Amino acid sequence: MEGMSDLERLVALEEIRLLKARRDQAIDTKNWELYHSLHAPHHVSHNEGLPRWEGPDAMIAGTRASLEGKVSSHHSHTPDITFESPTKAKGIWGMEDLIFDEKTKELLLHGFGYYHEEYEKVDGQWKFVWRQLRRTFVLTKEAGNLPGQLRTWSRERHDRA
Amino acid sequence: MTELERMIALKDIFRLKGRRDRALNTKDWEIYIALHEPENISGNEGEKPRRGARENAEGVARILEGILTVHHGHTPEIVFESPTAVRRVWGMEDLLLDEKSRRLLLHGFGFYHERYEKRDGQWLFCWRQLRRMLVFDYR
Repeated sequence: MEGMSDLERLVALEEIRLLKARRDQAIDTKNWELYHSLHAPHHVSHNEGLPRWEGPDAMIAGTRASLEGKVSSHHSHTPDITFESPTKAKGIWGMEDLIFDEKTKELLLHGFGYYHEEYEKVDGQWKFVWRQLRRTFVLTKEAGNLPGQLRTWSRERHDRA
Repeated sequence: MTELERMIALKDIFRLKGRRDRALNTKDWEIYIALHEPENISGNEGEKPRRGARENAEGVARILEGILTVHHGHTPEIVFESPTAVRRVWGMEDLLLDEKSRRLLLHGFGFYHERYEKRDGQWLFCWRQLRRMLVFDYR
């Protein structure tokens, strides 16, 4: 990247990783104040199957509503981060999420996909400015294809055989 | 190698791995081939190792016809053999799903043992062996 030394690029990569870790932690602990602070005022979230959320307030309102009565676990993996300039970057992260019912602790969803994201350095801090979750596949309680449901099914079939 | 050079190699190989997992999961075989040396050797337990980047991609594409996958790589160990040759071991998890019935076919865990070489300034895969720890087979 022109205008960026090797060391500056490594530091920026670590800062963006930390930003991502904080985001995943903030959503799973429902720390909406922290979640808000990680996004630029002009941030846009547009996840598959959900409305486009313009700005952190709309995003948090939408996210809170979708996680009402639920516990989530978001994990992110092996990012592909590229720099457009010393203050603009794009990232693609492998992701996996689990959503549980808060009361019954039942697993409702086990999903997989890629987060496509953009970041900008604003006043010395990297922030999210764009995020889109693109699913590869989703297992749900409703569809009956969660691993736990299948394991039972598989064992029963084995016992009968 | 300076410390900075080591850090850059770590980051570049980390990105190479992420791109390989994504190319596999999105079935982008041209990218998949481009991330491997032409004479790459790739092996899964119970199978004959596949020689050649293109031959490997074609073999994997055949096995995955009608199947969606998730491959995740975690917490790699690293050994520098030289400034242009590196070995890494990655914790891995994979899921295979039937595209039509949406049935989970396999949920597996293990370690990818991999070797990379830097050629013309680019890190590329030159060897990979998957060693399984545990597989739930639902087929």
